[in-house]
Amino acid sequence: MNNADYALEAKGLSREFGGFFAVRSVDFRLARGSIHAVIGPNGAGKTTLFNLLTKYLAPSAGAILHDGEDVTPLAMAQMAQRGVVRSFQISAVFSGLSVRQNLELALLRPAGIAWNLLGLVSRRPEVAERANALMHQFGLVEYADALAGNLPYGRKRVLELATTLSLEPKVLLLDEPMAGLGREDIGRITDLIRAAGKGRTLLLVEHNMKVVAELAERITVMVRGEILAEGSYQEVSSRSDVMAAYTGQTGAGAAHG
Amino acid sequence: MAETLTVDRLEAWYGDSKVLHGMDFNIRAGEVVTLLGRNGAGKTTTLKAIMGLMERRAGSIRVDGAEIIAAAPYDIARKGLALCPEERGIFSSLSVRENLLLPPALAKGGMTIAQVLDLFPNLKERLDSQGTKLSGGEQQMLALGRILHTGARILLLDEPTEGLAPVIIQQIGRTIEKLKALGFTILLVEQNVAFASGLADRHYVVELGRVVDEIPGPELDARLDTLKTYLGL
Amino acid sequence: MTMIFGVPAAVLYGQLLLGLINGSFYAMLSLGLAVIFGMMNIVNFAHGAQYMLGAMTAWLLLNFLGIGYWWSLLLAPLIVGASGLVIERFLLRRLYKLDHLYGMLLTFGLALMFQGIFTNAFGSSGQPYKIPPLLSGGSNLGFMFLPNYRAWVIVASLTVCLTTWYVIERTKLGAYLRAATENPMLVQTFGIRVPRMIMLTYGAGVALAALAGVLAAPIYQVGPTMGVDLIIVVFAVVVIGGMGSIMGSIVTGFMVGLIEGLTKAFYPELSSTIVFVLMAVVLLLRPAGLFGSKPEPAGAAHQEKLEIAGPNPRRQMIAFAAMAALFALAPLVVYPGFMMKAMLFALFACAFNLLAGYGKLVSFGHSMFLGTAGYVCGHAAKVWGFTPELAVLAGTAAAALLGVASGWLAIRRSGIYFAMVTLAFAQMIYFVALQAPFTGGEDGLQGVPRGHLFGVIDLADPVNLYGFVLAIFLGGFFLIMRLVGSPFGLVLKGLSDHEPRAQSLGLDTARYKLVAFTLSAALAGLAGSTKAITSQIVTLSDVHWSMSGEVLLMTFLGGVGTLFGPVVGAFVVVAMQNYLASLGQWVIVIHGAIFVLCVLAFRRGIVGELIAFAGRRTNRGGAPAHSGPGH
Repeated sequence: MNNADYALEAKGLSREFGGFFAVRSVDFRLARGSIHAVIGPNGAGKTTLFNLLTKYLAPSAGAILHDGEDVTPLAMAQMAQRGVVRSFQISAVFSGLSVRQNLELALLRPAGIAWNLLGLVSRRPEVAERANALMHQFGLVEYADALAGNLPYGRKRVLELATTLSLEPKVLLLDEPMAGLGREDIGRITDLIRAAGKGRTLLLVEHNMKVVAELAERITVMVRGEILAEGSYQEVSSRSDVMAAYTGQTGAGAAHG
Repeated sequence: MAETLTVDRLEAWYGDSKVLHGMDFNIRAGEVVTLLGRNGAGKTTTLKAIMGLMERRAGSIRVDGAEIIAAAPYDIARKGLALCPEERGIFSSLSVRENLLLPPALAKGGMTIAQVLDLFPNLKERLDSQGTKLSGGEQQMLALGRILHTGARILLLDEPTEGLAPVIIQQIGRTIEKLKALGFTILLVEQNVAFASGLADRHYVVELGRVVDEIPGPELDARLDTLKTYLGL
Repeated sequence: MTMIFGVPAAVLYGQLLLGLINGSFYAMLSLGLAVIFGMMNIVNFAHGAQYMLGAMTAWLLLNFLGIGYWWSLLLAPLIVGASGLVIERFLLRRLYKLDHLYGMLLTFGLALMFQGIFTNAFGSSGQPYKIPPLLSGGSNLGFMFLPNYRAWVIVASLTVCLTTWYVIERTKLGAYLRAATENPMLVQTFGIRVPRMIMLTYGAGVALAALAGVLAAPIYQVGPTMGVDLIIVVFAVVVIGGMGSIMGSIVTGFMVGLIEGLTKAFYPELSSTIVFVLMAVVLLLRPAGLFGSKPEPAGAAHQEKLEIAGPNPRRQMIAFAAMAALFALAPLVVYPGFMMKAMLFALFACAFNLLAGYGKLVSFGHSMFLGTAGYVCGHAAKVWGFTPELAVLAGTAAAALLGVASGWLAIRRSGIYFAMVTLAFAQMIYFVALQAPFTGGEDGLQGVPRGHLFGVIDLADPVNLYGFVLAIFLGGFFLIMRLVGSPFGLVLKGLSDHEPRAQSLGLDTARYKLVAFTLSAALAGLAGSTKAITSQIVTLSDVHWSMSGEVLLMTFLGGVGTLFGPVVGAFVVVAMQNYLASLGQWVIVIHGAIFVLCVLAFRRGIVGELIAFAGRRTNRGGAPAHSGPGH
């Protein structure tokens, strides 16, 4: 079957909020091993599509396939167990835990000890060492024992990325990883994401076109809950209807919603 | 013309994250001014900060010379400001009529309800529907219409074209022209450059929480390429 | 005599009338709760006390000023409503940016204070209030006799409810209220003073409760405790209906009253628990309630940070050893009876804290585990002749089972709904204990034998008994300490911080919550069972809601989410009860005042504040100081 080439596939996916379709009959394919970005103006339905693909939201209609298997009824936790792991738009760290504990928590399940009720986390070398390695890799060592909630915003995003990657996901979904970051953070996180994309399938929702142009091999443009265009950055950015969607100049394809 | 709204060194935070790093701009009475910039640049936050909706803000915002940086939203409204928010803020537990009549008239000189409905005839037939059952365009008109009868003179409009079809966008553009002709002062946040270019007297370009450029209305088309760089297109 | 399904028609109609009367009060009270909750996201636990205040005010007006029923109907709601304005302005307003549970805790404290003050002043027994002459007598409807006053209550309640509905759903004022419920910030930008509107809404909601109180005065006895049991039933009504809709509250209130009446006619044994059974069914089939519900507000963003990072296992072990030594030697200087009582309450509070502090699931019904385990343990020791260790085991197992069953339903909701659901289940257990044959009802289960531990060690010997309690306490505490430091404990803390994020890491959060709930129940049961052996008596007070309140108090006073906080809190509260016993009901007032104080100024509790203080002193600059959004 052809669908084995796709890590994630959406068929006729829709999501309705009280009469309003945030995502309407979207067919979408995420090719295995690619770095793929979803872009579009505000309110285009990018984040909703993303939430549907990761099963954070249940679709109103349509199906989602992972490695060719129907995963529509699964919960978000089960998607993660299948290796489909996401980040959140508003930096999602466990703010009451230290940076080290944030990473350890993520590592418990893969290490098979998340249901250990009486052992000490600190006595599990495989978890502790891996957490240390991740803190080194992501430049978080100096913050190891700081509460994640007290980190500067840019570091929170780095921590979230590190936590997400600690699961060694096969499919990685990043929801606006650059949101709210300063210029200096953007460069560093772009590099981290590029490195993370090696050997993985990566989908990101992002507003920063420079980042998208640098990272993504394939781009899907959404407008008003539907897919307007798809292709490489050059293909997409040369289309007049895409520019129209962004700048509002009345172009060909933008008239239909 | 006198400056009616002056923003100096405006800073604002969401929790720990600083979003505005010293915005400086001003609007003169009767002007239409836009804030342009990519998503996340701080345009919406600027409007919210002016309206008193950001918990933590610093700097100076003056309306006709009066400082409002520390004022509560309901007092800021009494200075003649009104906000049409990005998400439109139509109340789902209210009918269209209730939504329209909700904001009380705080000053003289607002439009009458009949005038508002003449401006947006679509709303007339839908007055008894639930507010959020309207289409996106109708909701936008409702959100705009309900602040026109309050007597507010300075309108803060946050992306009124977002997610709307071109024919509706044109209609909203014509409405803003009419409002300008009626003497309203308008601060418009837009991503839709083409829409903004036809309407505004001046444009401010916002990047990473600061105003980085000011473009007079007539020069916008000539400087479209510069602008596209700013917008990251 | 006409029979309907085996029940005399007169009885059926009588019970239906009674159900309608009760339903009238459910409807009025749940309506007020819904209005207050809609605007303020606060579950007004004081609502029952404010209903009592309405009735008491009417009684006071009559007996001290000679002001009769009809004037009271106007004056009492105004007076009590005005007190509500003060409460909102000076207390509740400080809580809006915090987790919504704090509002419930604060109003719980207020309820205790009101109740205690009035018990002190007028005794706990009820006072009669005469039916106004205009409404005395009744009319014969042919199939039944209808007292005029009861007819009036139903009509008055319906009128009040429908008027409230009309004002909220059909008027301009109501439009402001509805809009401010949806998006208060936006409404402020229209020039409307939302804070003042919130204050008036709270006042109006409270006045509504007081009005219900005045209406109730001639039917029920007017007394300080009249509102307490009622408010718990009303919470169940609220969970059944969902707090989203005004009409939903009214309909659910009357419906629950009628169902209760029918149950009284056809199956009286179930009549006091039927509401809670209904609630369980609704939670199973439609967790959001029959009439939908306002989505639970996400409080996480503004949650108080109660713990500093990186608890050091070694330092914990040292503290644990020190505590063990201290408690082992304590009987040399402190009365052993006090120590044992305090240790068992400390274990109870630590068990509660496992769920509330680390899982952020604050239960208002933990007394059900303490009491159930006590009854089962006492029964096993007394009737079945179990040795103490087996009896304790049986009690603990019973609590664990109850934990699985109630937890399975309760974890479908979170935050304030979780609190209300657990409270309602506990009340159901209370009624079961009141009626079941083996609990001894009001007298309690007396004469539980201490017996011989393992058939060998005589627990009648005070030294042996002390050793037994000490071992149980230390064992339970150690277990909790290990749980908190284990991978499971880390998952629990994480999921309470950010549940979607925990799910996105592949963790099935519902199962972790259920296990935490069950463990907490079992450990509370361990404390309850041991208490049955040491005190040799199990009474209804062990399953009463006030016991759940006490464990909340101990934990929040000592420091929720800290390991040793609940122990400190338990010792302080038990000491207070022992040494202030002569103050009688004032102890309850003090409890209430401590709640209010803790919520307003002292949210970390004693141990939490100490840790924070130490943390500030030793802060080496690695972690920047906390600066929350509120600053």
